[in-house]
Amino acid sequence: MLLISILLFSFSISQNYCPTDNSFNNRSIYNVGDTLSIEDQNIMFPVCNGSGEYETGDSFSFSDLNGNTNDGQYKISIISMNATW
Amino acid sequence: MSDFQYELKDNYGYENVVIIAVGKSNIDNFNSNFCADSDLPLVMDEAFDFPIRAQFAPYSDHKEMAIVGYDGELIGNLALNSGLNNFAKNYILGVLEENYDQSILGDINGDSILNINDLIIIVDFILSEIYNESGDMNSDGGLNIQDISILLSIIL
Repeated sequence: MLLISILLFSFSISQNYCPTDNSFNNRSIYNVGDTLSIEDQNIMFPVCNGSGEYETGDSFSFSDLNGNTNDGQYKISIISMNATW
Repeated sequence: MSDFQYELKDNYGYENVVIIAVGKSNIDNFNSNFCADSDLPLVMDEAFDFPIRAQFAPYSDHKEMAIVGYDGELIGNLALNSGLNNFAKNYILGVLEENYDQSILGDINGDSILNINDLIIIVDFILSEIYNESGDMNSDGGLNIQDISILLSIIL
């Protein structure tokens, strides 16, 4: 029974929408007034629902919105955290 | 929340504001429901480190929000426990009012985009011997070929 539970749990984890790259240890924590490091801005995250300038399957990084690194298109972004529905 | 993006654009003229939803890669039900019901882009925060949330802690749980400025500066955060109510909207509008119109170096025409149009204006200013702080890319107190070079390197 325990083995079946472990297998079911492993299967559920493998069914994520997007492949993950768990290489994000020791991340910086930012307070208001801090600027995200260039390294953090350049990290790519998968877009699982496309809209606007993003299509499903694209990658998102905060540097996409930084005019200093994207050919001058400056955007302010509102990042909405969501976890349940 | 996606309606709010249109509201910001249509009612307040904030065209260069994007709202990005951040999900969790290990919650399939949320992901599929979100994709069916929302026209916001959904970016996956990857289990189990959740790096996006980690960097915005403690404003990184469900219904919390971070506002990131033009150059990656964290300019605001808020818990939306009661949803996007008037208090939350006013907070966001206040942050935008304070940060949206700030001068972007090189953005001489004020459209929040650096492009050839700004370059043309700087050239005109140089030829006319007009000084403009937004065009003074190296902050040396004058407009010259060096400013054009710096702006060009950003545009290209």
